[in-house]
Amino acid sequence: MRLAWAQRLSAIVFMAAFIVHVHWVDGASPASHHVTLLLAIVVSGVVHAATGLFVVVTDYEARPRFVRALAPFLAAAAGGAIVAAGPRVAATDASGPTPGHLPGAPCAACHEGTEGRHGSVSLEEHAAASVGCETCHDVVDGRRPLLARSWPIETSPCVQCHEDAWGGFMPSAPGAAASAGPAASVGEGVRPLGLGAAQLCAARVITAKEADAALSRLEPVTFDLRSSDRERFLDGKTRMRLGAVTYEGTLALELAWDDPTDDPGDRVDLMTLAEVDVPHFARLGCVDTCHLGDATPHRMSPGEAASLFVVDVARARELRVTEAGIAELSSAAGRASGTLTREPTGWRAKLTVPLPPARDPSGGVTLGVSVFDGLPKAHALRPAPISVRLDCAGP
Amino acid sequence: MRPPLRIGRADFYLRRASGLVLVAFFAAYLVLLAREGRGIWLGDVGRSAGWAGRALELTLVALLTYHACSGLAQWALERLAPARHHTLAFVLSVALSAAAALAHLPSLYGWP
Repeated sequence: MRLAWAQRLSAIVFMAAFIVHVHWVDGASPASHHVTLLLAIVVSGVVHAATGLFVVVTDYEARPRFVRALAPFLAAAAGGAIVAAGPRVAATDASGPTPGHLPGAPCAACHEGTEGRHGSVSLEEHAAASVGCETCHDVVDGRRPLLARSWPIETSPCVQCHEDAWGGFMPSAPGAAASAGPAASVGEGVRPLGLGAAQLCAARVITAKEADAALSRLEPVTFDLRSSDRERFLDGKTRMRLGAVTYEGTLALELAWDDPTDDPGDRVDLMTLAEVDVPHFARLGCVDTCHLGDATPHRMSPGEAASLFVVDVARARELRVTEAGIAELSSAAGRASGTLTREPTGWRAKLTVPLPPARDPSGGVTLGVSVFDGLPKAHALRPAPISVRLDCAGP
Repeated sequence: MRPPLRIGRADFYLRRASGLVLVAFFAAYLVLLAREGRGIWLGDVGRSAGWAGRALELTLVALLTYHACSGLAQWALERLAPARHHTLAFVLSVALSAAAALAHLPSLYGWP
């Protein structure tokens, strides 16, 4: 009977903690809430599962009484063992960044093997900007990456330096116009849009063959991609030329950008977004919205630099163009294809992608574009989204 | 301990089967939490793994809801006694689990 009560009580605790954690606690909540609820979930879940399995296996009466008497203790011991062997977390001082990788910081004692990088995040550069481990993690035992800390965008340490990213997909963000730099130069069928975003007209043609010819005749829209790396990208920028046409439900794009050196890992990433204002971004910030994977080495293959792990942007779609072809990093309907070719002073990518079903309010497609130079990667991105209109007459 | 009525037996086996599936999933969750520190539901499987992930997450929500409702119904039936109430408990559990799964569907497409 006590076993049944342990099973039922643990079920109630589990469900209550689970529902509260899923629906009312998120990345912006205090770490103590996460810790308390996760512990309740783990302990009650283990007790409930253990007692339930015991009931299923023994059918209550199939074993001697002393086995039943031992069951709650065994279940509690199992739960305790898992909790003890599992991660230990606690809240740290949330008053501001604590540079964990500066000399003398305790984190570096166990994480020397990161060789200065944490996923695709450079630790040296972040430490120099007083951004350390505790800026993003509430970890105290130094064994496992736990509890990525959410920063509302207003106080996010990311945008102190990456103000370009703030404007990249958030045209409604204050300051986006100023950070976006000059609008795209105006060519045929192209005009600047508010807040520094470029608007590109994708001319409509009939066939794939015509698309190739049309792209070579079009005057592309030209704009700068900005980077915080002023060594790999001269003056912290590179020039991109982008042209687009549509045919038979397909968007054909030609992108060319300056890159004097041919390095392994050079590539372009293109993201199509159904909406430029991402839900929850203001509350959760850069990391929890999109960039959780940037600092997660175990998700990457050797030599690969994952640039994005889409967590909450359910309809986002990212294409990666390398010499090996095009890979889609998130789910999407249809397949993309294309090539990346080396030119004397840079790269040229030609790709076709099925038109995304999700459109922006004007019926067009919103693009984000960034290019990568070498490994470890340095990247430059267009500091404002590119709106592609799909209703333009052919060239 | 097997209930005598057919509907009660269906509930009995469905609760146990859903419990076993949930135990397997919970074990995977614990392993993931311990090894990688990732969160609930295998790190938002429904939002990052396409239609298969969404189907998996909705199935898990439905199973969890059924399992919980069925357990609560069992507790109530022990006090109300009449065996025919198994039918009502079973129907309510199935309806609630389907409703819970459908209620979570929009969130998997980014709708708050």
